[in-house]
Amino acid sequence: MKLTRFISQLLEEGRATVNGDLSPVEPNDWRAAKARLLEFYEEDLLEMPGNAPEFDAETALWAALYIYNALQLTILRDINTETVDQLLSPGPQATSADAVYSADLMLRYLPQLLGLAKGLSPQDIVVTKLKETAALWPFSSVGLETGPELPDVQLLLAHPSLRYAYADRIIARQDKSRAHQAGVSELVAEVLGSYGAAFWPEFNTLPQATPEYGSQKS
Amino acid sequence: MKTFVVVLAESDAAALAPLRAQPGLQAARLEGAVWLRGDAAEPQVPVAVRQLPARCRYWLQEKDLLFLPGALTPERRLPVLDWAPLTEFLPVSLPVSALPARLPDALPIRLRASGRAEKSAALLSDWAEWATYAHTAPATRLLPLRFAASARQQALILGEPLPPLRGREYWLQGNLLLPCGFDFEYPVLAELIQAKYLSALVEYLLFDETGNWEELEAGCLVSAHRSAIRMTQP
Repeated sequence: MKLTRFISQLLEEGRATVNGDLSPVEPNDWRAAKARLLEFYEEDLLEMPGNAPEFDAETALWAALYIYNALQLTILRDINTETVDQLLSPGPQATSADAVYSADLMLRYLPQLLGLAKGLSPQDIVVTKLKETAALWPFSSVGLETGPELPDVQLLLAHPSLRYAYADRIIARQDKSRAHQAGVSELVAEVLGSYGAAFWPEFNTLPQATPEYGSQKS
Repeated sequence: MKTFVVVLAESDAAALAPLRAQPGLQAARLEGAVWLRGDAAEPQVPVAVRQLPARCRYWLQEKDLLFLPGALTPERRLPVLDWAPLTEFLPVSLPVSALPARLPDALPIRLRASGRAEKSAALLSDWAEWATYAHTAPATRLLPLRFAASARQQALILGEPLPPLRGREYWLQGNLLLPCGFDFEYPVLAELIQAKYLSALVEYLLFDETGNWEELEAGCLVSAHRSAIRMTQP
């Protein structure tokens, strides 16, 4: 029940404990982890604006295991590249709002995880993998540097709930690069309204969005 | 020891008051006069007795005969009187209260229209409108707010910026929420009301235009988390 314990501790106490056991997750652990994630989903959607996306169990479980493995690999430094590739495999694609939100239940801890891995070399395989994942899941990686190009966020902007939740995260973390993205700057301006000076004084001084950023690139 | 007798007009009876505490003195009333008797060594009648506005002064001798001072023959006979100690003859009563004749009326707390523009600090809105707004509003806009629900299906929202909803706006004077456009008829009352009615248990007073108010207990205003609003059933 290592995965279920990990999830519960992370959600309830804001911290997690992992050991060096790299053995596969047992079937009953999968079932219990799924139930715990669904429980958290039902709590968390109360904070989502509008109607939150549905629960995608497969993606949520992948994200939970991903975070678990990433944390293990941040600590265990003698694991070979093939095993790292296997443990941090990309998993499901962020092709639906359900997947984005379900993965976010655990991938929202990516920024803290990367902060933990700050002591590692920037070229470290684990750090590289985490950054790749952050770029693939922009909803969960607000505030992180994800590479030279901003991620495609059309899926987020198209969903009424994820849209405002995304803007809230950008404002809360004052992520200037994301706020600068075409389509997003208008959304952030809409949320701030006439109170930009109160919520984010620097927002109005950011340069205007240009079409070569993000998915509007032609 | 000899007994002296002093006769006073009844209208001068109050002159006996300074003698009330002296032991051995007795008095009686008879036909518009007050009779006083006591014992003294002739001629040392107490000074206070000698100061009385007496009609007559006598020495009492055998067979109830009354002699004027220095006279060798009696002047008259002592009538039969109902003697009483001075403490009984001159009863005391509590003084009347020193309160003024009429207590001032209580000062009513009234609001009046004010020309001063004040910044809105709270909004009293319909609960359904607030819940609908909070359902979809960005968390950024909810974060600075606190709210309380009332059994009248209303929501009181405090914070800045307030949500763009219909309702009654209030400005904050200390911890008194006054309807925008109104102020106390006597502004000095604000400080007195706060000192009298606010406590560790009462955080705010919410006034209406007529000067009536409701107490908002500490803790009834909660952070406007979306989940808190969704789970509240007023």
